[in-house]
Amino acid sequence: MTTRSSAPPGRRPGRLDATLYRSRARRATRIGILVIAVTVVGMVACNDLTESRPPSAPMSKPVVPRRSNAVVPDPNGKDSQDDITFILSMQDAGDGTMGITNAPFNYPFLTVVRVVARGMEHRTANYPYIGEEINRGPAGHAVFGWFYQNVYSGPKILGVSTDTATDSASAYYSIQGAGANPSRSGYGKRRFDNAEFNGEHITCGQDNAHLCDTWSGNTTFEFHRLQSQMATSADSTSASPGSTVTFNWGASPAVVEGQQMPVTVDTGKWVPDPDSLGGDPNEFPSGGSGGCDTYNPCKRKMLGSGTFIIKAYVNGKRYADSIHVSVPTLKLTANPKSVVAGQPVTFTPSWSDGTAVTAATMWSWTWTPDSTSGSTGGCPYYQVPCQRNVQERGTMTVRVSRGGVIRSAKAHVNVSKCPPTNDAKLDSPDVRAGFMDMMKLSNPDSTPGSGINPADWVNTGYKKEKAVWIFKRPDGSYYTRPAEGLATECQFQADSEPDFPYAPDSLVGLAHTHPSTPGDTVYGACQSRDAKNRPHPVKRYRGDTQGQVGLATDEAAWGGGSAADWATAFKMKNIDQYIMTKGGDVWRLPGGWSDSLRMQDTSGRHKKWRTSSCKWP
Amino acid sequence: MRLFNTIAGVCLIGVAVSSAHKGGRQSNLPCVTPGTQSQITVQAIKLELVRPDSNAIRFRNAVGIAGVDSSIVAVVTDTVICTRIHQVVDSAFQISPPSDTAYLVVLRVGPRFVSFPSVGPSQSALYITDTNFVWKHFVP
Repeated sequence: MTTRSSAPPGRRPGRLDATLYRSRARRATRIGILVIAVTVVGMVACNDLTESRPPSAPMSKPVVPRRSNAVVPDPNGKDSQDDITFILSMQDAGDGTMGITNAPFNYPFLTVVRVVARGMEHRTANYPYIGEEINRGPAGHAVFGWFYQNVYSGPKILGVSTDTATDSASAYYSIQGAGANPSRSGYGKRRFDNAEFNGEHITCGQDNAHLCDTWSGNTTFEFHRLQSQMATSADSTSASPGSTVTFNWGASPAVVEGQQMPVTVDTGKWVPDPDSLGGDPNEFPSGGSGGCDTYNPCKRKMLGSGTFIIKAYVNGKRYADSIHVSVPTLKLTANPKSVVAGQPVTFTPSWSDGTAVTAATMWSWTWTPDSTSGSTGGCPYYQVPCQRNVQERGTMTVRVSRGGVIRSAKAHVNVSKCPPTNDAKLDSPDVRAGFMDMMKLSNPDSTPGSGINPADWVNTGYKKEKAVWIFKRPDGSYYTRPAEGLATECQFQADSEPDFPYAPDSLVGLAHTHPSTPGDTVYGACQSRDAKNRPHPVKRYRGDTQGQVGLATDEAAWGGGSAADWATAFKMKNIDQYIMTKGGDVWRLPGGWSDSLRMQDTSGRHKKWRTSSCKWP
Repeated sequence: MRLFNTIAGVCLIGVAVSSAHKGGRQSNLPCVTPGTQSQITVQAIKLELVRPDSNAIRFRNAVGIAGVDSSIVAVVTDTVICTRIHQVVDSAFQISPPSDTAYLVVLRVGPRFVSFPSVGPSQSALYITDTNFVWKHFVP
C-alpha cells in the first residue's frame, strides 16, 4: 500500500575404479579372519610352564606418541580381575591334602598371572618315638588347573618340592579359562605294622585303624594379574590422499616381571568422518582388520579423513583408543545453487589444502537427477570447472584422482519450476528466496488488526509490510538483505539507504510486500490528505476513534503500486522498486518513473511469484 | 443593567453566528474537472470494472461496484452532489473547519459515488459513498 521511502585427455574413467573395487574386496576378505588372527600376542614364558606362544612382534617405534588410552570395561563383565585370593581347607589330615570345592577364578581372555601359594603344614605324630614333628611348605604340592572350551590345562604345580620349610611358592602362568581343582597335595601317610619303637610295637597309618600322623596348617592361593596398558601410535595424523599411514598398538609395558604381555584385539575398525567433515562416504565403517591393507602393524592407504579405532584386551583387561587422521577434502561448489530451469550452473572442484584440481587429475563428471529422468547430463571428464545448463533438480558428482586414489564430491542444485521472468534480479535464486522470506515475515494470512496493541500500535501486530534491499555483486549475481524500518499492515517506511556497508556490491533495488489482497481491511499508518494537506488517516487499530477503516487497493489499477510507492520510485532514481503482493504478483516500478507513467508497460513490469502451477523459489 | 444584558446578548448571538459560519456551514464546492493525471485515475477505475482477474473481482465486490458497466461511469458535475461528497469526507475524518476548496473528482459508478483527490500524492486514495451520501469505504 503506502510505502514511504525518503530515502587430460587420453585416460578413460573406470580403470582405477576396478582396482579400488578389487582392493576393497580383498580387504573385506581379511576382515573375516581378523578376530582369529589377532590373538597374535605376546605370550608368556612361564618359569615352570611348558606351554608357550610366540611373543608378538616388537612394536615399531611410534612416530606420533599417543595419549593414555582408556580402560573400557568389558560390557559382558569379561575383564580379568587384578587380584584373587582364596583359602584351601583340609581334606585329609592324614597326609595334609587340602582343597576347595569351587575354584574362584576365571580369565576369559589370555592373562599372565603371578600365582602364589602360601602357608606351612605341620605334621604331628600320633605315637611317641615314631619321628619328629616336621613343617612343610607348598612348593611342589600347590596344584591347580583350568578349563577353556572344555579342554583342561593342568595340573600346574607351584615350585619343586624340596621338603623344606619355605612358606610360599610362586610361578607365572598364562591362563585363559575357568579355574579347576586348586589344591595342595598331601605329603604321604606313614604306615607301621607292628613296628617296634623303644620296645613298643606300633601299628598305624594307611589301611590301619589309626593314622600315624595328623597334619594341620593352611594354604592361601593368590592370583595377581600383571599390570599393563594398551599403547597406540600412528606414524602420521595428517596424510595426503593415497599415502599410507601405519597404526601400531601393543602392551605398555610390553614385558612385566619378565613376562611378555598378551594383547587380544576385540575391535579394530576405520570410521570415516562425515562427508561434510572430509570423510569419504565410500569408506563405510569397516570392522575386522580395521580396513588395514596389511595387518600388524596396520598399514592403510588413506582416502578420506577418519578415525582408526582399536579395542583390545591387554593382559585380560579391555582398553580402547582411537587415532584420527585428517586427509585433504575434495569439495564441489555449485554456483548458483538454485536456478530457474535452463540457467547455467558452474561446478568447481577444489582441495581443502589448496592443491589445484587440473584437467590431468580429473576423472569424471556425473549428473544424477532427483527424479527418474533428466536431461542435464555431466561434463566431459577432463573439464574443470564444469558448466551446465541445469534443466532439473539433481546432484553433480565429480571424481578426482590424487595419490593413486579417487575421491568424489557432490553438489546439489535446486531448480525452480517457475519459468524465468526475464528480469535478472527476479530470476536470481537468492533474490527469490529473499522475497519469499520477506513475504513470510509479513504474515499475510493473519487476520487484519490482529495482535495490535493500541498503546504501541506501530511496533505490534502480526501482519506487516516488509522490505528488502537488493544488491548486485561484482560477479553479476544478486542477493537481498532485510531493510529496517517502521511497518504496519498498509505502510512501510524504509531509510533511503541501507544502514550497513555493502561495497563493492551495488544497491540495485528495494522491494516490499503488500500482505493484503485487494478489498481486505487494513489498519496502520497509511493516510491520504485533503487540499489543505490535512490528514485522512486509516484507523490504526480496531476501535480507533480516529480515521476510517481502510481497504487494500488493487495494485494493477495503479500500475503496480500506490501513489506513495510511485513517489518513492521517482525519488530513488537509480534503483527499481518491487511490490510483492499477497495475491502472487510482483510489480516493478522503474527507478525515476513518475506517477504519470504508472500505467505504461504494465504487462512488461508485471510478474508472478505464485501461480496455480508453480511457486518461488 | 438591562442595557448591559442586552448588549451582552447581542454579542453572544454575534459570536454564535460567526462560529456557525466558520465551522458549521460549508460553501458550495464545485466539482473538479479531471486533469491529465486525474484522467489516468478515471481510466484506471473504468479498467477495474472490466478486468477479469481475481484481484479485480475481489476489489469490485468489496466496494460494491460489481457488475457495473464501465461505459456508464460518469464524471459528476453537479455542485450539490460534489458539495455533499466533500461534506461526507470531511465528516468521516473529523475535518474542521470544513473544506472550503474543492479538490475531489467525483465519479458516479453505478450505486456508488467514487471520489479522489485531483492532484498530489493522495490521488490514488478513493472515498466511496452510496448514492444517498452514506459513507462506505476508504481506499488509502
